[in-house]
Amino acid sequence: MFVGHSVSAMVGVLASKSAPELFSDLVLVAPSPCYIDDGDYVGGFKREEIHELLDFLDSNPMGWSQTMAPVIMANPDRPELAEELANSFCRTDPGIAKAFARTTFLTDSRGDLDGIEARCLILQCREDVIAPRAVGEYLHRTLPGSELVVIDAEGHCPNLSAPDATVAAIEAFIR
Amino acid sequence: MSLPGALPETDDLEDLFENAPCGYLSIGSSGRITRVNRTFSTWIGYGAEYLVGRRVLDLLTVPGKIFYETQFAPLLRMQGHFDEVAFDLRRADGGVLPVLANAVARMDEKGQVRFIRITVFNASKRRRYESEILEARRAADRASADLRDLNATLEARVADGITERLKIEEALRQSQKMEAVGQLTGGLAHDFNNLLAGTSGSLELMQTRMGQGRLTELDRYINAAQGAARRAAALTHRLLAFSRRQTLDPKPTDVNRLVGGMEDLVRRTVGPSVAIEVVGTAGLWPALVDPPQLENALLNLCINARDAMPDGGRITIETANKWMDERAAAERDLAPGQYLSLCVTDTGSGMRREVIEKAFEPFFTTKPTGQGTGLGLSMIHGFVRQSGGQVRIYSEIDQGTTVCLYLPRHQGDAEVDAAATAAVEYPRAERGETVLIVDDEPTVRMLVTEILEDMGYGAIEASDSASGLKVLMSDVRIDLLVTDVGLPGGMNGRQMADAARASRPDLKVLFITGYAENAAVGHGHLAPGMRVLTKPFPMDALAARIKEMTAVP
Repeated sequence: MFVGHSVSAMVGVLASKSAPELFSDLVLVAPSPCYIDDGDYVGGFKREEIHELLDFLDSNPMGWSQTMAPVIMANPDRPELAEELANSFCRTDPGIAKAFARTTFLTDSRGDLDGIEARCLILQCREDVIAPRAVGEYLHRTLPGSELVVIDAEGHCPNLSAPDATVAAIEAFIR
Repeated sequence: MSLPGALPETDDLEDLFENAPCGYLSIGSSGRITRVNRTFSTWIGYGAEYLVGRRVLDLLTVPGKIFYETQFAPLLRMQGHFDEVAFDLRRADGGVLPVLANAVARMDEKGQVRFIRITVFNASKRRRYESEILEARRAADRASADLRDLNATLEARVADGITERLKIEEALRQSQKMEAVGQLTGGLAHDFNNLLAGTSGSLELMQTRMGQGRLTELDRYINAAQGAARRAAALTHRLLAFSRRQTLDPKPTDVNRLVGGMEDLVRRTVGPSVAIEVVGTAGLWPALVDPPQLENALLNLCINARDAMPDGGRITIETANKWMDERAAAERDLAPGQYLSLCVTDTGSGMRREVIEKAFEPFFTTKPTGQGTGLGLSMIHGFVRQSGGQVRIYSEIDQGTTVCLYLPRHQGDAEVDAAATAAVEYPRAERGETVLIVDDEPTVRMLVTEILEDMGYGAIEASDSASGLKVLMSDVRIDLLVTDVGLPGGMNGRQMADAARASRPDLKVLFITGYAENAAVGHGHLAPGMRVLTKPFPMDALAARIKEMTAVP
């Protein structure tokens, strides 16, 4: 069983395609095979918006990625939190953050969805700027035998904004 | 506490909130904006009536939205605050407002979010500084990368430069060499044409006088032609000596005896104003050297010495044994070992350093035009180097010059010169001896054959190595093989002789050679029963050598 969020969800899909014998179930939290609108496909972003993002990263490496580190580390009373956050963000190297964003937002994995044999749960927030409802529905249509659960929450991280609903949906899928 | 005339507290706080130098946003538990201050409204260009009820997300640019959703919002939710995060807001006029934002979530006693306070700092100027700093840092990085590249390639570029320079110097040397060859060729052509004119003119006149029956007058023309031929032979000998391509006939030589034999000639040559002193070391080792060449060298050195002393002086000729250790040998570009030295010292004008450096170059001379050929020292140098020795010049201005020849020691005794008497009558063959003559030059074959017949030998001729070998492989009697070294027919003379010795192991061989085949005849170091004679040679010398070789059983 594989559980992945956002980019990691699609990483899991690609992994299961490469080694199907290792994956029986995929839990995909806020996944998106393609962030850019393309004809009838709604990815949530226009191509020029993605380029605006990449330009922003190019021109602003002293912005978020460098200010995140002190923010995260300033939790001496909760070291386990600091560690978790540190692991969650590309906090050190703006170059890596940039390459990661470029890969993430310019990748189109729609062609890789054929022949996925594992059972799939698609967890989708009611309102998500990053992965809109249409994307979840597209995946649901394309992955045969997949299950789509829309959680009543806003944002891209239902595991944080609605942890109980997220856990309940995953438990229902496993059983 | 308040002073008279103070603002009412609520007005004061109201002013502080509205006009603070930062923007304030309050977000309710629903996630919507509930209140903004005037500073923020002014910066972003929207009034409070537009902003209240919207989400922060709605005010962000696309990158801002993505980072807010993936980074800042989870951070705020997990640790309850974030500090000084950077993102861009979209202004009412479509422009961008770069900000730094702090956020803190205020909780109720049950741990639920009551509201979120966001404090926004206008980062327009700061972002500009950042851009400038970044640009400066990139420029510095580029400069340092350029410097690194420069350092990394510096060595290679220096090496390239040196290679280029060496090429140019090599080209210069080559062109100087070509110039020297040009001078040499021109000089040679001039000298040889003179000598040929003397020879061919004499032959023509001989023919005319013979036609006229005036046979008594032939002698002078014969003498003239022979004289020209001798001078031509001497000229090629000198040239070959400095080019180290002469065919040397080295013999174990007692150099003291050789110097003694030359003393009279030297004395007569240098004249009465120059005193000659000979200091021969007792027990001098023998040298392996071509004696006539060494005599020639000694005479040349003495003539140079005389010319350095126009007002007279003293020439000292010394011999000595020398042990050369590693260092002494290396200084003289020699192998370590035993040498003997022959030094000629004068009390003359001496030479400047730059003159010494050039002294061995062909055609270099300090003598007035017409007096020196510039070949003397270069010839000596060529001969001594070819003999395995070295020449060194030691000189001081106005004190004099010493030229030392170092010659390798011969392990063994010196040969005592057999009195080489040139017989006018060719010695006669006694037992019907037969000689095979192999040479591709018909004139040489004809001359040798005629001499052989005069001497009473049987002569067989062959014009190349293949036909020569055919004769040698037959059972015809052959007492001596006289052969050129450079031959057509697939083998040189040496190879042919070696092949013949397989079936005739005692075959005696006399090589007659020009110059370029020294390697073939072992640079004078030949197997027993093999000798070498250098072209051109006087006919009586050939006859004597043939007689000598066929006489030995």
